[in-house]
Order: sequence, then C-alpha cells, then structure tokens
Amino acid sequence: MSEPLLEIKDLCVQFPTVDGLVCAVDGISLTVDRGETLGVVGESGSGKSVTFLTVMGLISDRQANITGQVIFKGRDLVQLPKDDMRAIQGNEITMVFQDPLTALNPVHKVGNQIAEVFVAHRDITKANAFGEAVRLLDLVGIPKARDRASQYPHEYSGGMRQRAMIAMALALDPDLLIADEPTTALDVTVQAQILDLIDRLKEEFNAAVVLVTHDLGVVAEHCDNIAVMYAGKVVEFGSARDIYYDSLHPYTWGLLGSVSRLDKTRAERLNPIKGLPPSLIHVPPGCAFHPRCPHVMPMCSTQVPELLNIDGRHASACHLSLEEKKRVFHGVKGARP
Amino acid sequence: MSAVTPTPQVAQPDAARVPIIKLEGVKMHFPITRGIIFQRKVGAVHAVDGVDLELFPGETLGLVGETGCGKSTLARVVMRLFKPTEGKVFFEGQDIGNLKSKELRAVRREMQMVFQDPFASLDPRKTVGSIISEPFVIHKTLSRNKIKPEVQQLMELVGLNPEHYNRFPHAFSGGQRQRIGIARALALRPKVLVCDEPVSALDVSIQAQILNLLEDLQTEFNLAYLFIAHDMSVVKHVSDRVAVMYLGKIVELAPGDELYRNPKHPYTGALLSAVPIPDPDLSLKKKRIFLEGDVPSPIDPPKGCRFHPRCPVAQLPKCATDEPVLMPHHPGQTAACHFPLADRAILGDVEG
Amino acid sequence: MPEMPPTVPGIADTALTPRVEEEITLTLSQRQLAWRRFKQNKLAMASIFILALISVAVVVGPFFTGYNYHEQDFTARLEAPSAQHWMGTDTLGRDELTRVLYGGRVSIAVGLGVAIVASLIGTLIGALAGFYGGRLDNLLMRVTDLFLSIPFLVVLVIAANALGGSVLAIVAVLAMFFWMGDARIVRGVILSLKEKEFVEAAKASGASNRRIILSHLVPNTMGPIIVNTTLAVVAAILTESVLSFLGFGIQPPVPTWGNLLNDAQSAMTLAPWLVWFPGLAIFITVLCVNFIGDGLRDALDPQQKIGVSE
Repeated sequence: MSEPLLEIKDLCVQFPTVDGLVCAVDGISLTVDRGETLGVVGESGSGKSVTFLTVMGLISDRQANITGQVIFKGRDLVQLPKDDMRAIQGNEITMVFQDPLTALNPVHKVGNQIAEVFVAHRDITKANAFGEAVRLLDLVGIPKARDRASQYPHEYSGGMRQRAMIAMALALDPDLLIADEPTTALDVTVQAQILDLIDRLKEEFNAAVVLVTHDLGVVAEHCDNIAVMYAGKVVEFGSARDIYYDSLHPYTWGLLGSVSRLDKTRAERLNPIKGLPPSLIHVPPGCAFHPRCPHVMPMCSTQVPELLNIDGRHASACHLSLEEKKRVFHGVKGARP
Repeated sequence: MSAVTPTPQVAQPDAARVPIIKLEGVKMHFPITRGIIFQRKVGAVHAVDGVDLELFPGETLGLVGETGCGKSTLARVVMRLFKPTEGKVFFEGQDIGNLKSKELRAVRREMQMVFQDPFASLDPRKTVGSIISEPFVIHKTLSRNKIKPEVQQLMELVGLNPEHYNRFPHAFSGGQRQRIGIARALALRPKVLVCDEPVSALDVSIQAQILNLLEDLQTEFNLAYLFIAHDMSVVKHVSDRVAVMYLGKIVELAPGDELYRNPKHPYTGALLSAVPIPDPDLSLKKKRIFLEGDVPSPIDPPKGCRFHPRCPVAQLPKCATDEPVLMPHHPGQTAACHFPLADRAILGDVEG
Repeated sequence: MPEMPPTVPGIADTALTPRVEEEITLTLSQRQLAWRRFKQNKLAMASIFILALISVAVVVGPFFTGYNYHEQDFTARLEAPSAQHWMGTDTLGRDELTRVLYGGRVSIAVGLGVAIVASLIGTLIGALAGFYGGRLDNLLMRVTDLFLSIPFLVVLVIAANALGGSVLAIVAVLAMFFWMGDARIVRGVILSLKEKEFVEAAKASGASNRRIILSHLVPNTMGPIIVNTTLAVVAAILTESVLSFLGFGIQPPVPTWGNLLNDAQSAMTLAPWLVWFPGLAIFITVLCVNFIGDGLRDALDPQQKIGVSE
C-alpha cells in the first residue's frame, strides 16, 4: 500500500472561550489516499469542519490550542512555518466552502479572483493568468466563460458561484481538494450537478477529495470511504458499503435510522436518536455518545472507547463486542443484501 | 334490524370530502418599483402564478420545489399573511380573501404556522412561557391564572420540560426551539398547521425527533398539515399527497407513493433523480435526468411551458408556445406536461 | 435496521442535565446576560463608578460647600485654590467649587434631558417609518433629512435667544436637533426585524399592529437605542457647553460648565484654574459616558449568545 497523501494523527483543537475550553476536535486520526474520495459525516458540533480548517491552516495557533500531527506528503503542517503553509494553501491543498457568496469577494471580478491564485503561486503575468481563469471557468461548465469572467459574483447564480469556487480550487492542479458542505446551500438539482462535476474533475486532475457533509445520501453516492464523527472524535470508519450495510456503531445506526429515504414507504416510522447533541465544553465522560445510546453499558461512562480496526480498514469506537454489534445491526429486520 | 343485506362500505371518493382549505386561481405578484419621490411599477415578481389547491382535514399535503418556485409565498397566502393579487382562498368554505381584521382574527385561531428558522421564529426578549401564551392573550380565551398551567401542558406535549417556563429562547437548542414554535402553534387547537420547512435547519437526528412529534400530534389532534420542504425524502415520508411547484405553478400533484413510483412531469423526475439515496447500491439503480442551467427568475417566466428551457424532453414549437394544464394520469394524479414521462421512469428499479 | 426504542416525548429532551453554572446562565434574560458581559469591561465599570461619584457630588455637594453659587464676595476675588475655597473664586468672588458642582447639575441634567426626549421622539418616528413603510416612511425620512440638513448651531443660537435662557427652553431646543440619529437607527432595526419570523408568527396569531410594534419590535431595538442615547448625552453636554460658552445658552447667574468657561475667559492669565476645573469636569464626565457607551455597545451586541451550543 502506498503512503497516504494526508495523515492526521491524534489531532486535538481546543478553543478557549468565555465559558470554558471548547474541545472541537478531540483526538482524531484519519488518512486520505491519493485519488480517493473520503466522506466525513457528522452533525453540528461533530468537529468535522474544524478538523479540515485546521488541515488547511485556516485555524491559527493564536485562536486555538492545536496538538497532534497533520502529515501531508511527508511534512507536518501543524509545525510548518507560515510562509511554507501559504505556499501549500490554494496550491497543493485547496478548499471549497459552503457559501460561495461569502467566499468570493463581491468587489472583484470573478475572473480576476481566479487569476489571483495563479499570480500568487506561479510566475505568470496577469493577462496570462486571466486567460487561464477563463479556461477554467469553461472547464467547470460555465457558459460563455470569457464574458462571465468579467462579471462580479452577484451576477452569478448560486450554482455558478460554486462552480467558480471549484475552478479556483482546481486552478493549480492540487493534490487534495477539501469540500466543506459544498452543496448544502444549493437546490437539489444544482447539488447533483456540482457533485457530478467534482467527481468528473477529480478523475481528470487525479486529486483526492474530502467531502465534509451532514448528508448521508451524498456520501453514499460519491464517497469511497466514510468517517463518521461525533463530539470531536471519529466513531466509525469504513468503506461506503461497510458503513451502510455493515455499520458497527450505535451512533451510525441512529443516523441511518433518522434519515428519511425515498425507498422507504410512508408507514415506516423514523427511529431518531434520543436526547440532544452534547456540549463541547462539558463533554460527557467516557464515550461522548453514552447518554444517548440505547445500548449503553456501565463501562461506557468511564472508559473512552478507542477506534479499533475490525475488518480491513473498517473501524469502530465502541465498547460493545463485535458479536453484539452484528447482532443488533442485522437483528430484527434481517441483513441487507 | 334491517332485513336488507347491508351494502359493503365503499371508501368515500375524494370528491365527496370537503376540503378545509381551498385555493382557486391564486396569484401573488410583488410589484417592482422604481423612483425616489414617486414610485412607479416597472415589473413584478410572479411568485405564485395561478394555483388551485385543496387541503382535506386530517391529511398531510406536501409542497415541494426549489428556490423561486413560490412555495413559501403560497404558504403565506394560505395563512392570509399576504392578500392574493388574484384568486380566492377558502377556509371551511368561507372566502377569507377580503375579511376585516376582526373576522380574520377568528379564522387565525384555526390555522397556524410553524416556521423554518428556529432562531428567528422566537422573540429573543420574551420568555418561553410568554411566547407560548401569546395566542391566549391575544384572543382572550383564557383567564390569566389558567394560562400558565395550559402552557406547561403544551410544553410537555411537545417534549419540553415545563419547568423551563421562564427561560429565554437563547437557552434552547435548535430542535427545542422548534418544539416551542410548535407548542405556540398548537395553543389554540387549530385545525390546520402550515409547516414552512420546519426541519430544514436542524441536524438529522433532531429532524427525525421533530418529524415523529409532528406525526404524533397530527394523529392526536386530527390536524391537517400543509408541509413545505425542498427535501423530497422528507416530504415523501410525511405526506399523503404531494404537489410539485415550479416557478409559481403546480406542475404535478399525486399521492405520495404514486409520485415517487411514477412521476409524470420531467421536473419531478429530475428532482427525484437528483436526490441522493443513503444506500450505495440502490443509488446506482436510480435513473438520472440531468437539467441544464439554473432556476430562472420569477420576474420574467418563460413563455409556454415554464420548464421548457431546461427540459430534457421538451419539443419545440409546442412546449414554447402552449402552456400545459394539469391532466389526470394515475388515480389521484395530475401533471401539466405535453410529453409526460413513462411509468417507473426514475426509481423504478429502486423500490423493493 | 436495529430497533431503537421509540422516543418518549417529555423524557427525550431532558435526558442530559447541564451542570449548575449552565443552569444559571440558561435562566437569565437578555438584559441580565448583557449586564454580565458589561461587568467584564473594566474601563466601563470604572466609568460607572466615577460617574456615580460625580452624580452624587453634583446633587448633594452644593449643600455642603458652605457657599451659595451666586454669593458674591468682592474681598475674595480671583483667589487661588485654598482651604476655604477648594477651587478658588471667580471674578465676582463666588466660590468656584459650588459653582462647578451646581453647574454640573445643570449640564448633566440638560444632557440627560435632551438625550431622553430626543430618544422618545426619534424612536416614535423611526418605529412608524420602519413599520408602515411606503409613503409614511418616505415622508418621515424626508423630514429627518431636512432636520439633518439645517445648520443647527445657527438655528440653536437664534432659537435660544428667542425662547430665553431657561434650562427647559434649552433642553427643548437641543432635543429638536438630536432625535434624527435615533430615528434612523430605529427605522433600520425595525426594517430588518419586520421580516423576521417571530413577527410573522405574531401576525399569524392575530396580533394587532400596535401589539407588534410595542410588544415585539421596540423592545428588540432597545440595544442600539440605549447605546445611541448614551452617546447623545455626550453630544448634548458638549453642545450645551459650547452654546453657553458662546453666551447663547443658559444665562447667568445659573452656572453651567459652559458658561463657567465663558466667565473664565477674561481672567485666564490671572486665574487659569477657573478654566481647568470646569474644563476637567466636562472632560471627565464626557469620557466616562463614552466608555460606558462603548461598554454597552459591546455588551448588547446581539451576535454574542451565551447559551446551549448547537
């Protein structure tokens, strides 16, 4: 197995606030291989966005206490000096954000904003950079790219802005593209277009993609591997098939039971997880999920479960035994094909 | 005792049921004006452009569509928060379009709304108790000392701790705030609840809690729901019938399961094919319809069929000149399209 | 799919009991939370303390100095600060300390009076304009623009002359030119609040316009209004000082800090302390009010929420 492109080791990110120390990320370890699409799924407060903002270097050590390692192509990004990090941002690792309206500067033309990326990292004239920007806008499917490049972000629709963001992200042929809820603010038909675009371009540019989202449907359709996060930790990791057909963590079961699905009939009632998401300042002791877990055992409130490999790369952080887990998951309804 | 053999019970056909809310030819246009001292109208946003709709007691009618389709505006016309530019709105047979404020207030007790944004739908300066009791205070239905126990009972009903009566909205999570909004809506025991994207802003696990709560409340109080959402999976789960809107018009209306099995309008098909299914294998079996471009603006809708510029099966010149009307297909299903999709077009292989 | 136990409404949401400190925070109103935040601003708290001292001094002080503000003593003219006259005496032998303290009463009263009256006028106009919109809004805003375009110092001088130099007249005249800021702010806040869903909810419940404006909208504009009013106090005190300094404001023998400075002009070289004391009084008071205003602005910032995190 070749060396992973990105290896996050025991990353912890804590924010000191007026009310206390917010443990946004509480010791997570993840790997991303070249050419892979990794889905990171979690609800609000799971720490999924903070993790990758840290990887991108957008959370500085002045704002938060960061420990652990983020190893990208052999270098630890956490320890990297600012200038070196800046050389990587936008170049080797790029990011697409949720709200393109705020991510794009409203007073600069779109074409110029994309051109800026070239100018910052490559030895190229402004005019040539603009030409490259037009080429990219065309590549991401914006009609009449040359005219559109001279327009401002407010003249674009939501879907087009997101395409422009993707163009900016792919400008310099990055190794890793991080998409943080890229389609949450978009209509569903536009969402489908954008996700397909990302899939297509990923092949063309041979990049790895991290898709951070709360949408279980999106990760099922577009991701090779999936990490499920809760309260700053990874609670389950596996391939898409593992997570949907063989899941081994009560939180994953809870999520899958909560989701409305087109293939279910109206009569089938949803099975939500009881209770509320935990406070990140006063995280429950032991397993952070234990107050809401229907399979809680005495040890769950005292011992933090480790993320243990079960089968290949499939891993779960739960004290239930393997037999117990399989029994519960495949229990009443019977196993899915 | 009759000597005649009793005839078997025939299910009442829909036509015999009386709708609790009925919309006829409703249009809602917002004028666009220009000018500093004197303002003149230069155009209009055709948010709702000719909608006929019926909502029956105890049922859930889902209203689904993307940005700019007019579903939120339609909700507010139903609630008479807007007065329709054209057309009539009937509540229990009474035309409520032109009611005076006193009579309108009486109607307001019968239909209430649950809003999308749990953070903006509650007055941040009022206590929870005060928010939920406001309907009682406005309509003077309860004496002062009876209000608090009633409010606390409502809080328990929706899953909140009645001891939190004196807390403020900022002390609650999003899901809990939605519960407060639901309690407020139920205060006067309305017959209709208009839910405008009630769970879109919530986390998945909390969404499920709220959806189950809404389901339980509907059964307990025999409520009719107009359920508006952009998430087709959620709408399918909650609705008896579903209406699909595009650019201010209803393009398809069908019972829930029928709509998903046999969508007739290409836009419905496109929506269904775009919805991600949380199941890697099943999602591969979905047939894809790809739409070009973005949703056009309701200021200047396309001529003929409004969907024709983006429609993968549109045929000129017919689709660009003739506006299609809703035609019946399967029982209870109508769709407005000159070239409707074949059966089982999208999810045919997905369901069981 | 595993069978999860069904949710039991009522138990579901109280499954997690927050710790005691969180409990306390959760029951606080916006006002109480804002006070908590305000307390953390040391400068603002110090300013409140100093301002409280000044207020007590100007209210109670004149009774304890042993002199009257208009008591003239030609034997003790332009005396430097001493044991009998802590701030010295002025050109007519009057005790400066008493005059500064009494003058403080007037200046501060004028400042507060103007700010409050202007706030009331401005809030009313802004609320009506913002809520009803359309032509009423247009009309009210053009009136506001009109008032903002008038060279107010000139008009003030003329009006003050015409109405005489009583405290009431000056407050009335000044308030006429201070309400516009509040009006615009209130109108802006109400315009944005009007679209919020809790207002729609109130309408849907059948609330009358009056109820919506008074019970829902105006209380939510309190934050910006309070901040603006605080700053208006500063402006009013300074403006009154300027007016009185120029001789057009409150007429002697009633002292204000402004006309004390006017009196001190002629004797500046001989008795510079007559300029320092009132000048310092104005400066410290205004500075404290400014700090309090800044503190209030930070404390009332609606972006900050102390509560359950999502």
